Amino acid sequence: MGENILIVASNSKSFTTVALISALEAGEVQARAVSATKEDFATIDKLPPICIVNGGGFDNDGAMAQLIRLRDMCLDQRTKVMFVATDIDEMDTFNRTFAQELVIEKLIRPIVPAEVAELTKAHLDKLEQMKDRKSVLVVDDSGMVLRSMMTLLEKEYNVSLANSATTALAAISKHSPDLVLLDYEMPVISGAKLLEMIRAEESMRDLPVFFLTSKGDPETVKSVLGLKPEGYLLKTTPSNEILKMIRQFFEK
Amino acid sequence: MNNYFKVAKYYSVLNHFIVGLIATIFTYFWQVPHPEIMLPFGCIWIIGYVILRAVKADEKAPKYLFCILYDAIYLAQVATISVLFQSDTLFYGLCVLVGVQSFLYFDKVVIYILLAFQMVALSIYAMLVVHPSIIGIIGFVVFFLIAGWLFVRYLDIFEKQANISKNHRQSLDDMLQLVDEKYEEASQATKAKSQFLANMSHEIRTPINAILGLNTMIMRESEEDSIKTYAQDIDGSSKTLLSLINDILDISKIESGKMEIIEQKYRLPSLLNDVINMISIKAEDKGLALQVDVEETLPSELIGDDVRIKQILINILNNAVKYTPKGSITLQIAGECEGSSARLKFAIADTGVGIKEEDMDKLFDSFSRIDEKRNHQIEGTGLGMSITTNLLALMNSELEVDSVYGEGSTFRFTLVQKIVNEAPIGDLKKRIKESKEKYTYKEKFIAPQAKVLVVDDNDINRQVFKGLLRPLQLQIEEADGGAKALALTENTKYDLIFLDHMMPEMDGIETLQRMRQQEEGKNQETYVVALTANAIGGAKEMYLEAGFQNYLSKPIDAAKLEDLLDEVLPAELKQKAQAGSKTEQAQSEKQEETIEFPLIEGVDWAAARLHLPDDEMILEIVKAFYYTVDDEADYLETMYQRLVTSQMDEEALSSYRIKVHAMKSTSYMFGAFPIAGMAATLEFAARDEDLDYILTTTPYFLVRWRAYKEKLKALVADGDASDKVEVTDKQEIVQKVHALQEAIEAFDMHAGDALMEELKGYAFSEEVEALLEEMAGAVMNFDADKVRSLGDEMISKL
Repeated sequence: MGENILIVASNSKSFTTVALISALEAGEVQARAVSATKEDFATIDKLPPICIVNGGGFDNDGAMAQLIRLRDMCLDQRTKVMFVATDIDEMDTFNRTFAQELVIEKLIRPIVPAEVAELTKAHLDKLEQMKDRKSVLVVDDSGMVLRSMMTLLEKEYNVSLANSATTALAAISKHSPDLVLLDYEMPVISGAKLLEMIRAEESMRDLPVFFLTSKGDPETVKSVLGLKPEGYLLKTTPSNEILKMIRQFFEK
Repeated sequence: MNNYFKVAKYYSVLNHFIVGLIATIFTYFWQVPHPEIMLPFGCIWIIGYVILRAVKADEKAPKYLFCILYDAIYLAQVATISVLFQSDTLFYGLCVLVGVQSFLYFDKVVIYILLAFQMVALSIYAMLVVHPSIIGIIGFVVFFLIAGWLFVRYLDIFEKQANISKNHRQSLDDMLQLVDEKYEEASQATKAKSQFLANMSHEIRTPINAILGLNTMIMRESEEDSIKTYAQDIDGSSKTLLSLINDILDISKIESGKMEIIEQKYRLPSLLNDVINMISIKAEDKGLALQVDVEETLPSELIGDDVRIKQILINILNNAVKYTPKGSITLQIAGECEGSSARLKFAIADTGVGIKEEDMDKLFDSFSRIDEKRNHQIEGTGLGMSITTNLLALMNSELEVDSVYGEGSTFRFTLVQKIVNEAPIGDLKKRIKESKEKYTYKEKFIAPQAKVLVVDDNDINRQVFKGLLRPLQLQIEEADGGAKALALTENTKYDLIFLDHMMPEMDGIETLQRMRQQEEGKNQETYVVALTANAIGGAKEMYLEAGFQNYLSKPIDAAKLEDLLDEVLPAELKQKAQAGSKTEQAQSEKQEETIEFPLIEGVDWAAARLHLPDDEMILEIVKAFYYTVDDEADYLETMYQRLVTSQMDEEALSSYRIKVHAMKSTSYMFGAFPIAGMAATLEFAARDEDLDYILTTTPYFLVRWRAYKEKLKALVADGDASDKVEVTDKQEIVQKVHALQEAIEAFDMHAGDALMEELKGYAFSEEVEALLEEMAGAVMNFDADKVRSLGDEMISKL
């Protein structure tokens, strides 16, 4: 299975599917189509980086079950999904079934296969580039901090966000970040508590963590360092400095 | 002619066999005279037949030998028959027959040979067996006459043939001579051209030096970003141009036989270091992995032409990078000791486009590129490979290529180098990292007290030179020729002198010699560096011999120049460069001031710019703040109310503290210092459990906090109501809302924002608009639960 694209359709020989495959192959992207309702999809267990779901005929239970199965596999294998829906209703169904973070493209028919192929290729290239990037998780209860950190870091790193201890732990297991930026002051479960939890967990023990704190007084600083974070960043530092420090961290 | 040959062959072979058989049988069963002759002859026939059948006589076989063999058998047959019949007459008659049969070959040369052979054989036979009788002699004479007549008869044809062939040979000779002459001409022309190009090297490199140098100065001194960008493009193009020209000059040097391999001591780790650094940048840019697998036991100092080895490696690696769209490139070097030499095996593998079998030969052709259709987007002249193979040939090596089309290629070659220092090079990767670190910590210096003289007849070259040295703040004096230089060196002692080699009237070497000999001269001991555009092998030795301490080749590399100055200038003249120097500042990341922020009371945009890299982000933050103002305030108010009710509510106090802390951070971020300051005081109060302060100050704080919404409204324009689209398809909205809910749950900022923008573009009922407004805040905060509930509410009210 050396292909980069899997097209899942209710009928793998449908015109759109076949046209898509040939358009992709013209652009030197290998693609394969499977039919969602048949055995050939049921036996697939390894997905390529991008899956195109070609709609039409997904209104029966069997197909829906397969779609859900596809969604779970995509979540597990971090496969990205492109929708080609027949109409808005179907698009809505797709949206409801799939987690938004997996979806990179939403199209409603009619489509121009060559254009879609180009789009797919662009996404493939971007995914390739992003694979090698380090991933950073930012945890802060303030949406604005999350936004500003995302904007600051997303050009160089794959950034994921969380705004509480629960969402943070979920994000860590989902995204396996290379570095976590953790806010010290958070409601319910504080940053310090969260770090304790992280250090207690076998799989996360060695996760590098930087604290984000706007406190400058020595007491907090000391207590922060006691938990063996990689360091701490004052939120008041200018953002280029923050970026530089993160870059330096990764260069080590 | 050959058909007759074949006919003759078959006829005679069959003939021989039958007669031979008969004769042998006769001999065996009858009493025949001279059995001692008969038997051997009979055997000759049979054996001869067998041989002739066994050996396939075709056009390539020695024709003449076969003819003679046939003839021998013929004669043996004739002799045997004559003996059998005891008749000399018969003998001679049959001889004539044999002679005539020779003409069946219709090849004059063959006929001639056969007749001659027959004469010899028959003479011997006659003398041995037949009595020399009158009849015999007459018979012989007759035979010779007939043969002679035939010979003469055909002589003219023979001669004509000979003439024709002579003519043929003559014209063939003439043609060969003509070809020789043309070849000489052509090779002379190539040589002359190559000679010309080699001499032009200086002429061609000088202006490029000017372009690169002046361009470097533009890049350093310009303050306008657009100009800097142009200059960067010029730099890239000039460097490409320089490398193309170097390739062409190299190939012409090779073709005119002037390329030499200059062997000298070199350090293997530095060579590999340079190569790897250069390629790793290119590989990284393309997203390719560069794997380096160098044996640690390789000796560290060797003798060889390191410049050319570097050239070969960089050529091959550049190609690997060029033709590999994704994947990796591996450089592998292994080595074996062979006495006092090391045999280094280089292998460069890539996961690139590969080369087809049939294209392998084209690989090494100058100027031809393979698979043009597929690879036409890749730059290059196609000379690299040709130069590489030629250089390897000069080093007694050759390039081996293995490739699978579509999967990748591996290039291999072996070099034998004498060892100078066997010490192993160790872990190269570590060394590379260390040297990288060392380099980044190099301190820039200035030397305002140092006096430097630069001598070059070319105005622009001097300008470039001065420009390159400007950051070091040296005192630079110039001279446009040897004469002026000598006038200066007589009176002033310089710390360093740069002398161009190629100058009219008095060249660099002569100037140097005269300088050293100046009686009153102050620069007999000064460190002098030669500047040359014609960097040929052996240059360093030549300049050292001429009295220079060092040389730099043009175009001058700014870094090398600085390194040299760092090395040569005495420490007391060097000072540390100030970090805040003008050039430093210009090079540091410049803030983009693209948005003009309106004057808003309580917001310090300049401070915001110190914290955030660009104005776009500041606007984003402001917008986010705007949408969350109320939410934050409401939450804080709730906590506040709880504290009003019960001052012992620890949970409320803790939540209050955390929230006001967050509000402090946020307002600080975009420069809203007054409110940030107030939030700070409230935070400390909460920490110190100063409830009095909290209870008195919070309402005022909340009022001022909420007031920011109005202040920022102008900046966060919502768009006119007229821009909004009517809702035609409810399902579309529902779909978007669902998508938004999913996006926020997944913390997908971009998807969420995009969907919010889309939803904002619709004209909804007042109720739904209000919900949407609230939703904006929840989206800003990534409050998934609120987004979900608001979203569901919105859908129900559509």
